[in-house]
Amino acid sequence: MNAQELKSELESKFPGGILSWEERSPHRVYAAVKPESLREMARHLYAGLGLRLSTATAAHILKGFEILYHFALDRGGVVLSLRVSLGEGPPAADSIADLVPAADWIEREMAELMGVEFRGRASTEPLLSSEEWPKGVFPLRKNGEIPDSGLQIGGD
Amino acid sequence: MKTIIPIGPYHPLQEEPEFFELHVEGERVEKLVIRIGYNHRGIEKLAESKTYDQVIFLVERICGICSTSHPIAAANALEDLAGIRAPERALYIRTVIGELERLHSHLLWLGLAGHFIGYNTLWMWAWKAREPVLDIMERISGNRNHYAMMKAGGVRRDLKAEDIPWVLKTLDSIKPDIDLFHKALDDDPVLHLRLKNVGVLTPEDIAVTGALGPTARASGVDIDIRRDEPYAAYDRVEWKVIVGSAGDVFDKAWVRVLEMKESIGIIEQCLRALPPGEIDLRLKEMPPGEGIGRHEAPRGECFHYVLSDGSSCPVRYKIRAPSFMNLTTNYIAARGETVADATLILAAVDPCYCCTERMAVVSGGRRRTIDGERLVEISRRKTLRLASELGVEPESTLKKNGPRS
Repeated sequence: MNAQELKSELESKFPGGILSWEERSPHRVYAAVKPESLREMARHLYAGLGLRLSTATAAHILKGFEILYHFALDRGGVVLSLRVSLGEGPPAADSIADLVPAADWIEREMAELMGVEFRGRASTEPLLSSEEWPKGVFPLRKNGEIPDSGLQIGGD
Repeated sequence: MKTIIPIGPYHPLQEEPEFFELHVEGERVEKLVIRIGYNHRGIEKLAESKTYDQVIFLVERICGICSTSHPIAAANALEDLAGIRAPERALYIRTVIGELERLHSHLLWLGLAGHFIGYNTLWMWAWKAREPVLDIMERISGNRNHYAMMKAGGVRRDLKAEDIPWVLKTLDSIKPDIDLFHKALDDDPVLHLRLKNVGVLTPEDIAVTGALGPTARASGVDIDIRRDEPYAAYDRVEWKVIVGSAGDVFDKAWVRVLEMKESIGIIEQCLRALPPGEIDLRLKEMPPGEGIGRHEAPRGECFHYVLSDGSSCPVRYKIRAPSFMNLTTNYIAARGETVADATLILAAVDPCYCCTERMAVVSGGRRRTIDGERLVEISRRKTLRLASELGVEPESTLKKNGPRS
């Protein structure tokens, strides 16, 4: 399967689900998708077509927040990045971790560092941050304040 | 009786602290809790305040073992963003450095794995064989680690023609060592008993966890970015992806040992066919846009994403190291196994974490702190017991065929 075949497969399976499709090279494809289509599309890519979720990137940009879900089609060397725009309000997205288990840790990371709320997650335990990390402080946000850690170098 | 055994988060041998809590019922591990982030240095955030050239130096500090993996992935990401390809000679040099790193990283793992099962001769010999690889790195880059060789658009240092015969000769010197490790793996009955059918991961487990590199390939999952999305000079040389089948600790070791032979072959071909010419495009700016770069690091796919607005620093820089995926296989692989095998299973994915800095056993409400070497000792004792049941000396195959002077 190549990028073109992936495109026709997704378009026929999810009519209207893809808002735009950008093939920057035979190895790099970006698809902006409707937030409500994400879960079923992710399920189909992973369980139906056997793609691997490489990771996901949450970004705080001018338009607000967005998440890129990077799916790897290993034979063919294609990275398909599904782009989901979360708008300008407090960022929230549907969890896909129940459908694509490899999304579990990266969703926890995005929740802790970018403050994205993932709806429908079984567990929201912190993965990376310490218990002392203040609530509501998300360091990867552009307007995020990073509090003084209180840690002192040297001495007890 | 239920027992909780916390392992970690720090160990001076490893550069990446993690915390595992083994919930043990009698002898068997029932459940595993993993916490990471103890060494989180905010590198993605830091990258947003660094120029693109500085980003490469920054990501080189992520890992002390596979220190060139992130720079190669970063160079690939930035070149994807800029829509360029580094000069041919630079692609060959990248390949040489990438494979030298795989060699020394796999040798380091092999030694540690040997240590964890009480095969200390294997430990010493594997690490002895690693030294010449670091010597080569030093000759080429000036550094035994953190080579600072990569940059977007090329490499920072050329390979000197007069060094190449010495590098080839030095590589020749470690071939018998790798053959020896291969033979020990094939023939040593204790290793077979100790490593086979331990910590098995099926291809389905690999798909569920998204595991990568030798961890995936040992389970028969044939993925390798070097072949699947060729970059550097990997499509210019002959080599094969090593794929196992059993998914146990034995096959993970076997895959790594055979990969070392492939690495040597790749390096030799690159050095013999090194094309002349420039090594650097001398990029001055980055366009607005996005780029994704991947590299098959010793532990699997390294993934970098960059978002640029055309200024001198990235707007967003995302890094996903292979251990982030591989660690989650421990939820599956350790379950139902004994405490004696747990150390080995946790180490088998080569997570940059293995043993314990300290260990405390909580049992019946009482907390008992155990000496740091204790977990290795439990594992070592199992090896000795198996050897004595077989009526053989541990490491007999290895010692019979060595040592080399």
